[in-house]
Amino acid sequence: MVSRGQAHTLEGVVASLVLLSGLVFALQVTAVTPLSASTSNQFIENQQQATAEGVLATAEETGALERAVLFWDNSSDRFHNTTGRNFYTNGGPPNEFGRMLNRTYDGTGVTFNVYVTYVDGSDDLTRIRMVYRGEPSDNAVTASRLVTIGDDDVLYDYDETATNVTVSEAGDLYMPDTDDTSGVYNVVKVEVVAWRM
Amino acid sequence: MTRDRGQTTLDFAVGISVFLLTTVAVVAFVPGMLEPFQTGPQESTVIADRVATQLVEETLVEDGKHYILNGTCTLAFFNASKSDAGCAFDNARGLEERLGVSNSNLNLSIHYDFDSDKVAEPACWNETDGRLVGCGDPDADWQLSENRVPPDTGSVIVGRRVAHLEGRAVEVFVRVW
Repeated sequence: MVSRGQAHTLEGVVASLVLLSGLVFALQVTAVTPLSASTSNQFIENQQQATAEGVLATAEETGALERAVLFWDNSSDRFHNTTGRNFYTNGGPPNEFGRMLNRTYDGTGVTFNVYVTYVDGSDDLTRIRMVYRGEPSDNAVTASRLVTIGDDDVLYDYDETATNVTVSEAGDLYMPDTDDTSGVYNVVKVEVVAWRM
Repeated sequence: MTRDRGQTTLDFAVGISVFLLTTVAVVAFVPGMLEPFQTGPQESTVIADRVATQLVEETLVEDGKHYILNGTCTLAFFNASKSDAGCAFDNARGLEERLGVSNSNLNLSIHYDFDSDKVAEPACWNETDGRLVGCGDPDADWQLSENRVPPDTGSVIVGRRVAHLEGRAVEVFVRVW
């Protein structure tokens, strides 16, 4: 008969294990909901989505979106003032659309990518990057707008003035003419992807 | 002292320490685990989100185009002396009635970075020229903001939207507390 009321070492360890497994089980049962305070909070995602859509709508209304799509340097076959890779990495492009994006997103802890999707020569959709600042997180939001480019639209210079080179004349533009019979040159989709850094 | 159990004092010390440490850790951890599920400012969050969405998608817009604000209606919204004919609200009523919010405090304001210093300032309206200016500008006549001033203490939920007004991408802020 044991006369000393003293636990074995093994009993102490097993009791700890029982406590810990109870805690782990309770953690598995609880769930993170869309309204919990986290980066995937529904309110934050709504706000980011609405902000991205607002920037695109404003850019489309003032015509800055079309000018940004045609901000192409025909002689060096890239967007103006991009070096090395053919996309911007340090914020928006140096035109009105880029300034709108920077004004909206600088200093808010939210970063963005901008992609341009167009119809290529074999009637497939091709996507190129206009701004790429990293791989978006799992809780990124996207907003997109379609821009129609006509045959008579001109390219824009690095200081945002219109050149007299139309898109049909520009040999090295990234998108081809999809329809020679009508006045439409191509239809591009500009997509802004925003996520919290 | 004779012992007939195969356990030294050291064994006992180790066993009890492990057990007590685990008990204390579990007891300290459980309140932190329950914290996201406590009632917080959830109602204000939803109100800020809905009011901001309603403003830029219905109340102030032109022809149903989301995010494009109608200049006349936006000015009438913030200034009760202007006519609200043809707008989707009645500016003779209070702010809470216009937006359908009953027991929260609201502050709406429009901001824009006029001086390009990466900080958005409150926007004011210049009557003589009919344009948006910063409120520090001497030509500013009245400010595009509405209602009470948010308190310095306590939590204030802010909803932010970007919209087009008079050729600029302005930021619309909704503060709820």
